[in-house]
Amino acid sequence: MKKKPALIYRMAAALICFSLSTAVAQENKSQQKLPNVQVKDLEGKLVNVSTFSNNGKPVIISFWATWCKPCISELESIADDYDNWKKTTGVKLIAISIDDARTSAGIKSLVSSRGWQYEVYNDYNKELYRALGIANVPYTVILNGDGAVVERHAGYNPGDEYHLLEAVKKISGL
Amino acid sequence: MKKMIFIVITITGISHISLAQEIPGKLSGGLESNNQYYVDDKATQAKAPRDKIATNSYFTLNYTLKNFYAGIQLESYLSALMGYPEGLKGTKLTHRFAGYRTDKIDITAGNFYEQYGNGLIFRSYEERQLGIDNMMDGVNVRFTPLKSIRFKASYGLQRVLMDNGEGIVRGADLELDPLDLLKIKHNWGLTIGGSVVNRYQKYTGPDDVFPPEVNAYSARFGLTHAHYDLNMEYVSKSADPTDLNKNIFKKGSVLYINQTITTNKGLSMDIAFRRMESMDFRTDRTQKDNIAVVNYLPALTKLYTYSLPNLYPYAAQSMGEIGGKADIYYHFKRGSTLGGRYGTKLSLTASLYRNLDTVRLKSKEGFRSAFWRFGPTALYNDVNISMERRWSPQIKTIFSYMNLNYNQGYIQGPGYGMVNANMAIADVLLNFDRKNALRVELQHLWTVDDEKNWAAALLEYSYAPGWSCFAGDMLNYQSKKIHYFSVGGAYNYKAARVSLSYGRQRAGLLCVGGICRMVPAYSGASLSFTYNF
Repeated sequence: MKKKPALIYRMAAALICFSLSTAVAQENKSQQKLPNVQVKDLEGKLVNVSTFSNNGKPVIISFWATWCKPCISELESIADDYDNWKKTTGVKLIAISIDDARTSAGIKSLVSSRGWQYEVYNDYNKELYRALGIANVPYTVILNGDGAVVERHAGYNPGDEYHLLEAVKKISGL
Repeated sequence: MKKMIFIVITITGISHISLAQEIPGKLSGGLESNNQYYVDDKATQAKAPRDKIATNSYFTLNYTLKNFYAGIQLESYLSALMGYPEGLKGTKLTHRFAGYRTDKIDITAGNFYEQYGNGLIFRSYEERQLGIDNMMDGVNVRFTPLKSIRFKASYGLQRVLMDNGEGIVRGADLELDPLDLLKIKHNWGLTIGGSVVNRYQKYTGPDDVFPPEVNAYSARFGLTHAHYDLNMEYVSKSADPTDLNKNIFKKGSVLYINQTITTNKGLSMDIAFRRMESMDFRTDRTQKDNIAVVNYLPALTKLYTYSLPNLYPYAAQSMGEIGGKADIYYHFKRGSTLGGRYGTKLSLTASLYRNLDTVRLKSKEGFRSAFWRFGPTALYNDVNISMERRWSPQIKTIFSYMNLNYNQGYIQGPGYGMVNANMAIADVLLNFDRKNALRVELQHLWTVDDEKNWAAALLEYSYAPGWSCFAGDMLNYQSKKIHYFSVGGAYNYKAARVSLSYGRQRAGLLCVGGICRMVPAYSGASLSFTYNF
């Protein structure tokens, strides 16, 4: 009986090594694209996320919800400077809300009153969210001009938007 | 535990090899692990369980290759966190599915999530924080021959805790855009749809007329325009005697109407009405709480993010409820007198729910109710006004005031009364520079009911990118005088997030997205880790 815990720890250590090496391998390759999953636009029409594109320019995908305060803070602080972001890097921001039937009716009114210029979609039963293995919002993904995922970021702290812009600039070769 | 580790190692090993050898296809997924260490606490009378360490972990892995996809999820509750349903225990590969997807057809075999319409008739989904996962195990088909014709058919068993339940669910849903279909030019989008769901559960009791199957039908109608949206759905359900409704043969129904109005002037609103009766719909007639639920009936009220308003969260009453909610947003533009240099955002929310006007019947039906009449008992109502304004690049504030009436006896059980409370909240964000920020929350709640007045404060300091820490306290200073404090920190790096905290949790209703569960009081340390790829 005494040997079991040691074995478990060894296996756990092996597991950690494996997942880290997997993670590193994934990061080096960085060729992951968005899965073939559909989300709803604000008119209720289904759109396949694998068709998201920005004419060879990078795309920021921000997962958010109407009830998530840090998400709204992040989108608000980007909105203040969004024209400038678009001008300097050509980036487009796509905001995908994970609001379900309880709060999804409020997406359009919230976006409209805040005057956000983003493309907004609703992942109404979290299909995309789950396919990407995301655990919490806010969560940000950057796609390069070819639509490959090159950056991921969990959470939001005030000031993260500057790092996001830096990352986008790096991708656009600026 | 051993088994779980073997499985995980095998999976990660395979993924590792597949990457190294560049086998085509893509892998994605994530790991979430929530750990708790419990301690005894004299002040709150919280007792640590025998196993002082609890861990809930989830590991998901999805694989796609062109049109083919497959995935698994491993869950382990060793032991389960306090407050989770008792049946969640052990380690198991709970999800396994494979499917084929093109623009026209999507077929999934194995475990799947699906939602018909607004979910009032059928929704399978996962909400880990509440221990809800009512996923199906069977076959799901989505067929879209034309963009304006969308058909879904599903059947299978439903997950109940760690296994499949015994109730069988079959359903189908059709949605059409008639104007597109008839190629009529239009400025309005029009959608009509309908669903049918049948559940069968064997009945072996003595009642000859007891229905082993329940049928539910729904019809819905949607209009969309640049500045106006209408979404209506009506669901009717056949008699469904269960332990919870004391085996009455009462038919059920829900009517839901939602309208959204937006303008170019910064004003927008969203108004919802819902009436439901006898709509508790489960695959297992002996279950209660959030277990084995087929449909989705969340509380339609504002979702508060501050701690004091969440002391009194409304929970939808599926047996009978009538009411609605209105949200109004207004944005004073930058440069206007009231907008200031950065603009000011106002929001006003109000909601009101009452029970139904019912008459008890001696027959098996149990009760009869008037459709359009509000009942004699107030369940919940609230009004909330909030103003958000940035004063300078360094300072942003959100001030809120709210009033609520909460029928605690009706919602949480006998022994409680009505609570009338007023709350004021100040939320100040100070951006010192591009990296350092401090957020301060001050809250106060006034009431002569329940635990009387409360005060709360929270400080949150962040250093971008990645680091943040917080310290907070909540105190019912006129009654039990217990400090519900918590301190903690978090670190984000790319897709990884680690957070650690220590504090006291108050017993009560924990609600996520309008669905609630009761949590016991506990004290201790908590460590969470999330990562995805």
